[in-house]
Amino acid sequence: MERAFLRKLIALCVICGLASFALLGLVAFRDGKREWKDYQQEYQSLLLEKIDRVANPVFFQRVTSMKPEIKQVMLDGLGRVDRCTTCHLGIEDSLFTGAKQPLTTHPDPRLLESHPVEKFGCTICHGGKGLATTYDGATHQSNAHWPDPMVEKGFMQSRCGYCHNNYAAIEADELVLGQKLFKDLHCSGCHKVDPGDGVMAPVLTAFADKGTGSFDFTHIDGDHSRQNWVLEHFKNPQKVTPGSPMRIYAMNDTQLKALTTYVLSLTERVFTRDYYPNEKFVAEE
Amino acid sequence: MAFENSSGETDLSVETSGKPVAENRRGFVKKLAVTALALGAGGLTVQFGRFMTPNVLYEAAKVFKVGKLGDFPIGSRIVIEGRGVEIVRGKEGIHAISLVCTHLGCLVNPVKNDPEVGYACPCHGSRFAPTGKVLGGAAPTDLPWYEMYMDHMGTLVVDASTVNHKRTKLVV
Repeated sequence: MERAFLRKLIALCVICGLASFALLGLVAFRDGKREWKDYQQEYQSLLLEKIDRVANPVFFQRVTSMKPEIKQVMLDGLGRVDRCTTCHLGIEDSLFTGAKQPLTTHPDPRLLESHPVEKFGCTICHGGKGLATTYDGATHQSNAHWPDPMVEKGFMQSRCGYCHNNYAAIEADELVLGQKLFKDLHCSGCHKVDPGDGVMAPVLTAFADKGTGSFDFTHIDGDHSRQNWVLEHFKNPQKVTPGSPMRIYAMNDTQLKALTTYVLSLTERVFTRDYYPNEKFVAEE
Repeated sequence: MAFENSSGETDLSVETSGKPVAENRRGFVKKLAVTALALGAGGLTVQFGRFMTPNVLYEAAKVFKVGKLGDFPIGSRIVIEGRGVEIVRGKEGIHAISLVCTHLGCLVNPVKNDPEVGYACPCHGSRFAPTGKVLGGAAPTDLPWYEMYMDHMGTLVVDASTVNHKRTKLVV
């Protein structure tokens, strides 16, 4: 009895040991398979179709011998490293306007001309995890557990306000409207944005620097994202923050969105000087 | 439990008495074990190999764009800030030369008023010809040229990971 049981136990141990060793091997092999490698191969074959061997043999040869590699932009002045171009390979390439994600061209090439990827990277405007090389890792979707997930399309202008002060000069209509609303609704009577503003309510000078984790989503129905929190809060402050003395302001959806965009542009982040625009700040009288 | 134990005993007896069955089973188990071991050892080797050659290093990209051809008129020498290379365009073509002194890695200064000397190092006085050939001073070797190409959008790209040993100029 005893001996038979021991034998079984030993057999079980040996089997488990071998199985875990086999699994270790499998994991090691599977680890080499990454989604960006597939995208780079797709890019290579697409690019080879689009370019002419005779016109530029040196470049054709380079593309033919392209190997999958992580591409990154080091941004010392912004304190970031962006690896987005590992998958978004055609982002600055006019030949890829018709390609599907992630190889497609940037929807607004004019913006990229004034903000070249090699100098600005991607995450300073779009948010998200620059170092990540997977779709989920880069937080393409809103994520309550990452301080700065990617900005939703409708709120992109909030990022322009990180560096730009003169919203009209860069045709940031949402920021222009949002700033006007902030003034017209006398928000600065209680919320401090500039020196001299009221300080009865939470100070908003660095509102955009608050991570997703510092918002209370208990009373939020939809997305657990900062922009959704702000939107819901403007619709009904008491519902989102019970006990808040802030009242409901009658605003339509456009105005709500504009004001949300504006408050989410209020930052105290500082970058090196060469990142700031040359346009002069014209104080509105 | 009792049933299991008794069945175990009968199994063992079959193993010892029925020789062909046992041999078959033993062979199969051996094969299985060897496969599992090989898979594990192979995986370990692969992972170790990958560890020695990382996917990416925490440094600036070695392949970088320097601008359109129009930014570099014929006869110009333009230093690319932050990259340690100078783009030189002559009548015969264009090339990228490293500005990192081969002695101790200071950035050499382009010399423009002396036809003999192209670059001079401010640290230990090395001098280089316009082609990068070392003329004197502490530097042991010539300044390397890097591979350069034009991509399909007409942007000039320097590949600082590949040295252009033949010193061929890019004809554009």
